[in-house]
Amino acid sequence: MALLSIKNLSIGYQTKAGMLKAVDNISFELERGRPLGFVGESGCGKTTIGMTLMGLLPGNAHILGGSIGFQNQDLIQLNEDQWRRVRGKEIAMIFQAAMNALNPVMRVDEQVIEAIVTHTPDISPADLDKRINELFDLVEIPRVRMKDFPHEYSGGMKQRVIIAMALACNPKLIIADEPTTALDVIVQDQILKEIKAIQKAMNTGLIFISHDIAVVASVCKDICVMYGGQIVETGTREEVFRNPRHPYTKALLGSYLSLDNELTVVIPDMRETPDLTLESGCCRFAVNCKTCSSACKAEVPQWIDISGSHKALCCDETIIRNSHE
Amino acid sequence: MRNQTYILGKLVEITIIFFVIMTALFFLFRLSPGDPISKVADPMLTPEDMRYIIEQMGLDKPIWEQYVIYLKNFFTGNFGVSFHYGEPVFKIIRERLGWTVLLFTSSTILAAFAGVFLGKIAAWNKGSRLDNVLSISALVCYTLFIPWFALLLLWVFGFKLGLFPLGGILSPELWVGNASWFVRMLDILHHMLLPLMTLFVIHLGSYLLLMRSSMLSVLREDYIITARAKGLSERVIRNKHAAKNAALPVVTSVGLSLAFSINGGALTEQIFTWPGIGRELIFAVSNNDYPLAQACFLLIALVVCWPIWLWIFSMPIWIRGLPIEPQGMVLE
Ligand SMILES: Nc1ncnc2c1ncn2[C@@H]1O[C@H](COP(=O)(O)OP(=O)(O)OP(=O)(O)O)[C@@H](O)[C@H]1O
Ligand SMILES: [Mg+2]
Repeated sequence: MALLSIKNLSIGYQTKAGMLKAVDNISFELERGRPLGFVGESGCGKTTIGMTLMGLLPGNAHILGGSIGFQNQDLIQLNEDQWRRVRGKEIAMIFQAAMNALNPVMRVDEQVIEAIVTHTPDISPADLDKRINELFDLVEIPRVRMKDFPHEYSGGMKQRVIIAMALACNPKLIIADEPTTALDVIVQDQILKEIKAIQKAMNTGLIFISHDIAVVASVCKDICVMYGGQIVETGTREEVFRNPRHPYTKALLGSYLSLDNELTVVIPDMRETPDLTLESGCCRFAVNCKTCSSACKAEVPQWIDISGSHKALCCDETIIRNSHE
Repeated sequence: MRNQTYILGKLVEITIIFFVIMTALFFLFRLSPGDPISKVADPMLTPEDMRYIIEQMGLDKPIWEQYVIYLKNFFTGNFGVSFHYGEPVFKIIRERLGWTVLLFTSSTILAAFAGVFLGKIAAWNKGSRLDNVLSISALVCYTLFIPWFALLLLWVFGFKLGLFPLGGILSPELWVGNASWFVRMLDILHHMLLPLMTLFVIHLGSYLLLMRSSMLSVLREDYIITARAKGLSERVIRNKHAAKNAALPVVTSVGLSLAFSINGGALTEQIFTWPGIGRELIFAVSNNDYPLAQACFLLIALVVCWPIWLWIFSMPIWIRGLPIEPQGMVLE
């Protein structure tokens, strides 16, 4: 049985412009040994999915429908108390902005200890000590630096602490939301290797979020490509990488980062931002799609199977089927 | 090593600042209208005292010579003798300082604690009725006109209801006689309550508003989400993670307001005839009592620089020992 199984999940943000459907009718399953990657440009709803899985959506967010099956329960039904027991213990998250993710007035080790003690209040001091040392060894931070304050750490070390914190209670599922975006390439590479190694060693479930499809492909076996709150193509990394079918995936593979290292992906000839206030189910990519026909704007896109695990969301079956060059 | 250079630089800076302040003080008072010698001619002083004062300050000499004498006196720790009291300025200040510190420090610290506590609650319940009531009350406190409020308190509680004395620090009957220290202390507290209340209310508003806005911005920080993601309870997040960070600007602000303790409470001291430095300062300035006024102003300058002193002498302790963000202590 899948560790996590999400069905028809929709999430909206109440804004002045109306209900912003940041996540629109997405479904996926996650197995323990198969890290799943989410890739897509800034604003496509990746963090929103992560926050939903942590029960940490902001006040103006509403779950419009769907279910999140995790260990025989539907996470959507949980109350705040039950959520607290899931957070950190069952599901942990590594956040996007590592630079400010640590409390500046607390020593680093205290912050990790806190994560353990909250969920195992009766742990003995000796066990706690052992566990802390284990965790810092695991993320390769020298023990002498454990008692430092966060500002004495480099960005890479902070990110490692965040990882240690996420691992503290041996969670069954880890959500890594752009864990390396703020780091330089070399540190990024080390951290990615660490995440992969830890995932393998502990056999946890891993959802890996990034705007960089190359990074996602290096960590994950399966990939979901997102656009405007929808998953538009999903498959194994080989399928998606070697044989992209959806017009957006193709554009993404041909894209590059803008020079000022903005998170936005610059894609040739993609000027429009998707309209998230659109009715649920419509093709969000139609505004930018070069192969778009008039039918696309009226019809509801369907999942088109390419092979067993590989499928794409489109109104026009022929585009998907014949697009392999 | 960089730190040592830095500290040395700071010390030089402070020395220069003091020199400038002292020079300014000297000339400002000499510029003010009125002839000092006639001021010295206080009928309460004996001719010997007067001659002594005139000689000591060189009041009969040209002004630049007076300036040199003034600097020399200062560096030998001689602050001179008050024109009015005929007593060493140093002694007068020492007596008054304690009362000011007692009144101002206790009211500031009480206000800071109350402000942090209430501001935390207001921010945590942002937009609720409680928040509105607290914020508006804080705004009212903040904009109160001190003399008006002090007089109001005095009129209602002191005069109409007769619950508190109208001024001073000790009831006349306790000046003499042999009341125990405990009775005296209670009596002082009794006298202190109204001025304390005044200063407390005045400060409370600004601390509450400061804490509220600081807390609101801290609650948007990423580390608050991290704390939530660990599964911590809301109470722990509020008190341990948010409030501690949010209180930092309040701590800084308390520090700065302590620096203004000497003149900051002057009006209140005046109204409640509290025998502190602020009241003495007003008196000295309006009576051309140069030595006393100069010493008071120097003291203010000294105290205003206190964060620098603190920074220089205790930096290592601050960084390692206190539950407060070390970065917050780096001045500049
Ligand atoms: N609190 C909020 N209120 C209103 N709209 C929001 C809120 N948070 C996010 N959104 C909107 O929801 C959409 C998805 O946001 P999300 O943060 O999930 O994107 P993302 O894919 O994580 O982007 P990035 O790569 O920049 O992190 C965006 O269009 C964003 O503007
Ligand atoms: Mg994001």
